[in-house]
Amino acid sequence: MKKKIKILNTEFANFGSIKNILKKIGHEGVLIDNFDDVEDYEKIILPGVGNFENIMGILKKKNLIENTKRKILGKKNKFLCICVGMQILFNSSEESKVPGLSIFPDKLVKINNPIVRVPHQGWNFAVYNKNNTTLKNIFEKKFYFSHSFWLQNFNEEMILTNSSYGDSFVSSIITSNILATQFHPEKSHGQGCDLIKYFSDEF
Amino acid sequence: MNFKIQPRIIPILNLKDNALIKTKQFQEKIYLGDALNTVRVLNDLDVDELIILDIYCSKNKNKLNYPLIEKIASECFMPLTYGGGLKNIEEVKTLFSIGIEKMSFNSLIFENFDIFSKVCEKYGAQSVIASLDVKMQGGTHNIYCNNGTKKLDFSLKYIIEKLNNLGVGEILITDIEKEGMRCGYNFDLIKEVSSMTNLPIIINGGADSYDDFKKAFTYGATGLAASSLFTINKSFETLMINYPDVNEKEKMFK
Repeated sequence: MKKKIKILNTEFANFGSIKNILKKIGHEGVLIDNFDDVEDYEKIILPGVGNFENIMGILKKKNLIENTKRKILGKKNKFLCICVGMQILFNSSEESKVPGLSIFPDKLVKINNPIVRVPHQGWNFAVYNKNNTTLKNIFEKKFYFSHSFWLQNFNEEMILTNSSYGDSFVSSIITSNILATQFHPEKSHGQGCDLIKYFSDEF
Repeated sequence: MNFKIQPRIIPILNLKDNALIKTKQFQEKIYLGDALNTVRVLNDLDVDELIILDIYCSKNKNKLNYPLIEKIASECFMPLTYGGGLKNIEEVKTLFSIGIEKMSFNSLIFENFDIFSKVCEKYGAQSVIASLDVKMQGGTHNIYCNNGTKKLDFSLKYIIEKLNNLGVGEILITDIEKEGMRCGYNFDLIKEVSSMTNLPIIINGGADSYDDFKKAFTYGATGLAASSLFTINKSFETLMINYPDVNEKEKMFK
């Protein structure tokens, strides 16, 4: 069944790409400026391109910081948070003077290892070690990464995948209503398409 | 786990209006075929990334060809970079809204560094490619802009330091005289740039075989770009789209 998936308008993000992939899997992406018309149990994408401080600035300008937090913590809606969209779920980042949404207390740090080039740009494995067969198949292939900051440690239970680029880092997390990825599923060919399908239809 | 990830192998498509063209040393143009069809085939071949360059847009100060760019973006489920004629942040915003998330800048870097910096700041470094066109002359690599027609007085080192400090997403470096010639990359150029920066480097111009990719990777390039190699039948100079599959890539960089 065709669903309308809501995309939070953070102004500086790749809405076009996200709409394209939703269309490909038979759904429709609808840009929203606030949560007024969002029904319970509707799915919401927090897209991410750009910088942490900028996105927090936009949410502040639109008076959305508290509402976004409430929506996420209310657990009635499922969220897919991509790249910087994932990063702002945390308390802080070395990229930003302002705090994030602080859903989780952790801090993002700059990739800092002389043996790798920064940003981390390219296709890399997201290693999945749990039992869901759908996810296991999806994570057989590489995903596209493009970032300069990362999360190195996190609560094991909520880690969906780890990846490695000079050092190990958390490349995606999962809770009862959050699926968040450091990589870009909307730009990761068939496997990315499958992950967005999983979010839209099964998660 | 190995820390070195595979380099990206990146087709660059040169556009003129709605057509795909081949250039040699930024000059001679041969009409190859329909751009959109080529993009579709490359998407089906699971290319790592794709760069489209509308070189005439910059040269003739035209408006961006949004209808075509939008159609191309809707066929691309991998990272897609647009370059050509970008002058302001409004254009960047429009491109994001139609499905482009990486942009390649060339002349703007030299003509208005402030606007260029602002794009990096707003959209994050990872969305911005600084494209540098160079020619080897009298033992040094000189930088050119305006489609290779205007020689600049800055040294390569000076510009790359500026880009290091600003923090762009990556540097695309093209050897003008090798572009379209299929004579092998300028490996000295890769070595030189590689020693000047920790940013990802995409090399372009001259690739003729997978061996060139292998060699460029060992010299420090993390992106391996080519146009003719992926789109042209060498003997007949006609359109022939090809791209290495997963196994060929594994073999190349194991």
